[in-house]
Amino acid sequence: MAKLPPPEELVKINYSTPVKGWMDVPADFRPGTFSYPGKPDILKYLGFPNPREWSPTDADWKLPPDWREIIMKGFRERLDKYRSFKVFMDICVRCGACADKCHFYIGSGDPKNMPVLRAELLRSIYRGEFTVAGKILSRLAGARKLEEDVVKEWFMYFYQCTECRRCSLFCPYGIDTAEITMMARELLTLVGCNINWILEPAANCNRTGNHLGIQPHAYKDMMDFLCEDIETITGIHIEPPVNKKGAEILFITPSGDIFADPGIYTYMGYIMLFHELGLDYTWSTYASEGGNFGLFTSDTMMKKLNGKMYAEAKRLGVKWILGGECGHMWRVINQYMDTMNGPADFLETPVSPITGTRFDAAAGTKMLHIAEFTADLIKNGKLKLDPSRNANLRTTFHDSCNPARGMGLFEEPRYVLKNVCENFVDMPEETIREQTFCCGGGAGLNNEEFMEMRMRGGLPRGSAVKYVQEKNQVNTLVTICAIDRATLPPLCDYWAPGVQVAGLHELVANALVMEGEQERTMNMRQEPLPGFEDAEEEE
Amino acid sequence: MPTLSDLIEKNKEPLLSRWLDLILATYAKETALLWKQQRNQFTNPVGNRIREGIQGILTCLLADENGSYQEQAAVFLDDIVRVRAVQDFKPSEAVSFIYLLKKVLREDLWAEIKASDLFVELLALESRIDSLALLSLDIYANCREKLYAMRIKEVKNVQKRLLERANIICGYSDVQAGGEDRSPE
Amino acid sequence: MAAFYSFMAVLALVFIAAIGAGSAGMYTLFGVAIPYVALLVFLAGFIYRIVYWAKSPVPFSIATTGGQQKSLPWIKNSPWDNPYTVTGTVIRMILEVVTFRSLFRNTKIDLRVDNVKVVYGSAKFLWLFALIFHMAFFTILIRHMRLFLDPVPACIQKIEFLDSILQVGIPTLYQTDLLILVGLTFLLLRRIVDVKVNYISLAQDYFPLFLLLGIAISGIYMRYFIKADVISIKELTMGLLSFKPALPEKALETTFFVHLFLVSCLLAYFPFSKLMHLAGVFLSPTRNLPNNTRRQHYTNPWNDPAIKPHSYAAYEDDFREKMIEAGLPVEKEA
Repeated sequence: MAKLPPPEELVKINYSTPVKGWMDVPADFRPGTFSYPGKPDILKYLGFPNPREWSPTDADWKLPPDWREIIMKGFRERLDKYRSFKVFMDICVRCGACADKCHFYIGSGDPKNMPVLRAELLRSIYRGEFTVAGKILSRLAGARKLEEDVVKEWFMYFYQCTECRRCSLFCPYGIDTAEITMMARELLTLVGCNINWILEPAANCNRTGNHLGIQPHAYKDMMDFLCEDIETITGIHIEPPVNKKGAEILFITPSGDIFADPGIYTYMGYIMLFHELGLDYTWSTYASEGGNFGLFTSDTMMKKLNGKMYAEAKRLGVKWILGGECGHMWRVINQYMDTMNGPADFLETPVSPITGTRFDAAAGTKMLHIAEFTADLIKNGKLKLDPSRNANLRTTFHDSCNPARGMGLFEEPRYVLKNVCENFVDMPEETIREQTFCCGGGAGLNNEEFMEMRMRGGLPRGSAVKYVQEKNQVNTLVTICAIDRATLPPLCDYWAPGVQVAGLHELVANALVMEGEQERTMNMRQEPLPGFEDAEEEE
Repeated sequence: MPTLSDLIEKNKEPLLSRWLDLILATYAKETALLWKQQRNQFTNPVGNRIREGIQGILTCLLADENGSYQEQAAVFLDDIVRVRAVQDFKPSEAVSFIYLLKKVLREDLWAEIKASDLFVELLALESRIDSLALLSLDIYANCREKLYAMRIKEVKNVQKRLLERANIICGYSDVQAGGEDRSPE
Repeated sequence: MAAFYSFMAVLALVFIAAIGAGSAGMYTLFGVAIPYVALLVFLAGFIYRIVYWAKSPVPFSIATTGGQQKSLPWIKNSPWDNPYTVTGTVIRMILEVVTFRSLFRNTKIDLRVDNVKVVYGSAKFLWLFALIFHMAFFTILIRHMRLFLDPVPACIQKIEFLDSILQVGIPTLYQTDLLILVGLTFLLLRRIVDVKVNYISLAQDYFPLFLLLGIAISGIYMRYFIKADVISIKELTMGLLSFKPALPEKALETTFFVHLFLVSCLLAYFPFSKLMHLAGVFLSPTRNLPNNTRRQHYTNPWNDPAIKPHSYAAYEDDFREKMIEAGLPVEKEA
């Protein structure tokens, strides 16, 4: 009998082509793996160089004629400005401890997503242009020359890093890829290679105070709209103070939560909590953004956007600032804010007007995290809570990268969560707290065109969620980050269908027993509370 | 006289191992080598899903010959296809892995199949494999549709309240928020 | 390929020393001149590199936090993984440098065929062997101080005693001699066998490993096989140290010159290589700074006060009418 044709001929499967060194593999831009470039008018508004129409899939990226000099000059300047940059360029021993720590590497298998290789993309140029050995030995010393393909490769891989710093935790020298990615992104910006999903929010934030570019009257309008919902749910009419001078506390939270589902429920939660406490506070439309996409652009942009918080606190004459649930916002506040725009001597160390607790941890920035604030309230028994209203939820908690590895906020949100919901279980130890896995959309990569890559990067988080879903029947993933609230729903939808995503203060609002409220039959999402499911159907 | 099932059952481990090798080899360039040789040491959710998936699929193919194998195998196919649907694969490449089982069976068991004249059984099994390939295509399409649906939903979610507000301005002010399902009194 | 080149390079160095000091008898060059030059290069290069790093400021305090922050008094914080004081930071650094704490965290994604989900097993091998190598290297370095100190201090003798506590063989075997080979071999094999690490390895990753292996092997060969004349060696080293270099009367073995030459190469190579992680780890801002920047001010020397936010006045000018219409308070009426 004649030999049958091998079946894989039908589909022409490509078996392992010869393995090439990473320097010989050019970046391949396939839809779903890159973000759209910055629009020219946005670049012009921000005063960024080389505004133009272009696409990463083009052969010609229309770089400025002297792009090489620009980048080398920028490289040198940043080496002089950041010791971290110099040290991280020099001391990596390529031990590989970081390699399998990156969620994008785990999900994609692309070697250039290993943190060490991501950094080598920059290091190879550093060696080739700044060290004698690199200039002489070239490849043998792991060095190469700056070519246009290198810029393309940088754009690909430094916009495939979410600056989550998981690798930095495992590095024996603390080499921080986020730091390297920031430098690379700044260099790319110098020649006009950046992504719109970061720049447009940054521009909007500068002008209107928030990422979506919502003007003050619309912001107020939206707030009233949410208050109508609150009234529907609780029967309580609330008029939150906005731009109120002389209030004790200024509250700032990511604007995403006022428009985006499911962030809005957390947003309503804040309003309800502050109303119930009778807090003397105010919202601001001028500083209506907690997030700071400047962190993903340049130190200058970050400082400029962050400056609004203190400026507004000063103008309104508040005593201290309370910050909402957000991820990278808290990295900025905890590690950059006071250095960039402080010291804020005109403010006072936060003291809870309800419990009298003085928060020394925030004595410098004068800015307190809402989870710390609420945990203190609960600990002092100042909130009347009915966790049975969350009895239908079986929750787990996703630590957001920035509050985890750039602050260390682990127990406060868990304490709050356990007090408002009785069913709580943590995901496997290696996927939470300081070892938490990214949602796949941090550092300005939470755009929809990047969805495919986000799902790859989301696989480790998705696996952990699925694990507790199957083992503990978890149906709700709680998080304290506005970007997470946007990125985790599709992630769960894809990798662990059936798990919904909620903010911490959404659950607080569900459980919060308010004075003068009507009998609560529905939760913040206007779904029936446990015990009222039938009532809804009868209606 | 052994049946084909017996034969496969007897050689299950080497067959699965080679099938896995072939699948990992479909991962492009560097990844192929990395994952292939990392089998025992470095592994990952991707390798994990594939390994578990093919084991399950083979078991389903052997355990049941009356037709319900499709339903059972769907779960395992999903494990593999769901991953491949978000990796750099063309649709044909993404579902091609199932055909590799044919290759493994033909090449590794050819001598025994010939000796025991099991061609009829082989053809039957290959038909079942083909039907799983079609099933994989369904799963792949579902995953991709889901991706696009998620993209659209995300755009909507981001501005959910704005959209609702806009709708209201456009003349739905008589409808209560969240009350669109309620019938008029 | 990178490994091969590195191996050949080290082999070449061995031959240079063997021929130069062995056949050609250039004792003064290999015994005196090269060690002096190498030491000079090492010291100058080391200082240059530190100064080069130190010239750049640390604009932001960017500790990587590996545990619970210090916030509310009733929440237990992690004083070493997330230090907020100088003391805590010093302890964190000591644990990092002495016990490789971050590497100890190392987990590896582990595949369990029978388990449906990803299991994260711990992969402590890298930590263990890296620690073995570094500790052995450090101990051997201390032991060698006996060649430079007269009389030999008691503490060094104690270390020698502890190192040979097993009392095996004549001369008694130092455990560290064995351990350093074990450590180096593991680190080398890992680079060759582990595909992931192999893919990222450069020639400069293999070269120091081969060089160190060469040094260790020549040293062991001298001590255990040809039983080199330590008295004569000490004569030379003490001469070098007192800047009155003189070759001992009794001719030294070629192996000693090979050993010394490889050590000289290591010294000269050190400041220009990744081996500078020895010093760099102390300067890493994600580890050597406390997480206290919400508590107290941290200064960025190049902070530019001219960078101001888009002002409220400009914002109000932009939207004043709409704000008034929405009932929002404004500073200036239209």
